[in-house]
Amino acid sequence: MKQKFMVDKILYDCLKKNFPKEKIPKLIDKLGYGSFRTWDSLAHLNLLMLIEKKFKFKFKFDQMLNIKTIKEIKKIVKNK
Amino acid sequence: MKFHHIGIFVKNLANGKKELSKIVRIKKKSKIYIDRKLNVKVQFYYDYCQLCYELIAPYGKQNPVSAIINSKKNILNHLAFKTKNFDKKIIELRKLGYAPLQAAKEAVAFNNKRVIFFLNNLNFIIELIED
Repeated sequence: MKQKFMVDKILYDCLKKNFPKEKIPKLIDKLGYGSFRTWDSLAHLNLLMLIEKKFKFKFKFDQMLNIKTIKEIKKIVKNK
Repeated sequence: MKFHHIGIFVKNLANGKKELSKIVRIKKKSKIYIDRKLNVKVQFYYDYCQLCYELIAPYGKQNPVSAIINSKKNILNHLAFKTKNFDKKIIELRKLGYAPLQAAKEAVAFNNKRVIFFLNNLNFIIELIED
């Protein structure tokens, strides 16, 4: 339970840092590529790179190309 | 990796050449390559310092250029490097934290050798070209 909370908190902070002009909702699972006007392809990659740094791991090559939502990211982070 | 070119997105090649010529003395140019898989038209220009500039214009509706042009960001789009160890270098760059923009694809402008684009940690794009 504590780990789930921590993952959510870190992802929320990553979203806030990557999209400083956007209002990030508390429930982030449904967010994904294109959710905000500023969430374009490069912003998406920047977010994934930031998440890699925060969680100290690397997505697999295919994951990097296919991940589109926070829900998918959470699943990978929890199984790392 | 060996530096190859600077990639610049333009609305059309003629206007791109006109603007580039204002600041760069062009020594020679390549033919125009139309890449129907990547949906781009490209042409290479070389200056007297041996620097190579690749002008990349949209080709077709699904092209990757128009959205960037309209956003007015990343127009000076990428630095490109040739490498003989293409697959190995991809793994190395991923380990360094570079993020791939898409899977490797063959490019007409490079004799159908593979190219791949990465966003690096300084937040600019590099292109790897199979040598």
